[in-house]
Amino acid sequence: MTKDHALLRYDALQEVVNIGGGHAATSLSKMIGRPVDMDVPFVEVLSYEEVYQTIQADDTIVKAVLSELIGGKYGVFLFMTDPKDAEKLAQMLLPGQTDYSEELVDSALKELSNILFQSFLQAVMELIGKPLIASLPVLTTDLFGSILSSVYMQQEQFSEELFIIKNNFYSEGHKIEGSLYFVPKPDTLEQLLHQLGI
Amino acid sequence: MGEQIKVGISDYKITSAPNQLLTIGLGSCVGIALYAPKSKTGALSHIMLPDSTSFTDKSNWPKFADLALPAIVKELREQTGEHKLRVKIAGGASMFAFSTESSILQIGQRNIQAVKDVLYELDLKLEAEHVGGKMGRSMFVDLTTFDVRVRMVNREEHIL
Repeated sequence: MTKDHALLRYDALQEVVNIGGGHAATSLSKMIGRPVDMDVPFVEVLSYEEVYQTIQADDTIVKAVLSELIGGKYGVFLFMTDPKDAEKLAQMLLPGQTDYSEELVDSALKELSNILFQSFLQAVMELIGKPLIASLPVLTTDLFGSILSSVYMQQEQFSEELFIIKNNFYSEGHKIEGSLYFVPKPDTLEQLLHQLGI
Repeated sequence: MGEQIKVGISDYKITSAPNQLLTIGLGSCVGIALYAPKSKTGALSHIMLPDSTSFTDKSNWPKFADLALPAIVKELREQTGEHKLRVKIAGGASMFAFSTESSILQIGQRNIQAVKDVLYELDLKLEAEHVGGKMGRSMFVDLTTFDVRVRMVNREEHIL
């Protein structure tokens, strides 16, 4: 593969993540009733150690919602946020409650993540002209390190080098943050680029 | 005062008391603590995968249970001159269990089984374990006593 072609593929992938993430940000903004900003999509290959040093420490407690693309070997979406931010998101999604129990926060976060995944997928489906369905989401609260390594391995990504694909969302300045990851199965990105004619 | 020596994913470390060994964020991975009691020297290994046979690149051998354990046990035995080692393990969770997934595909379960099989082949008796379930774990190994503390989020610490 020539350098130009590799760059083209990288740009195409980043653009898909940008379009999907933009769609998801718009949905999130509608749900919580306030503006949501998004960083330039992060598309990079990093080792586990680099991820823990530059993205998030392995011992950070996060809430993670996972949803699998069904009907084929594609991969999973993963939305991760700090438990405190999850509570703030639940308050915005379900205002006026007297008690935000962890159960309520988790339900709200699952619902919100589901809508993020669906809107991201909607945008990708329009690009590739192929239906894609995400499973009902599952949630866990655990260490970033445990979650990340387990999800990559579950998707048959056994290398020590991880292909990290993510969008970061912000609201109220940087007071509320969340990250939407897509973890592909080994051949998914090739298939996607092929569908795009690249 | 000893140092805390951290073991990353697909890695291992050997050190002696008063140092401690630790590894953070074992999801489906398994942590194996090995201990030579007379010299109070221990190893901690953080394996990712059960079996290296289907991989062409085996250069990062500490990643695979079948390659890591024999090599680490050999190194620890040679370094200490002790043949009899104590062993405790933790990890091997299924963090996200989808109903579509059969247990054969669950890497956590396969890691646990592979570690037990290799320990058996190496003539080592597994003394204590805290494995499976849906929660991640971190391991802290005290090399003075060989107490292994297993920490989890929103759960009581468990001592092996």
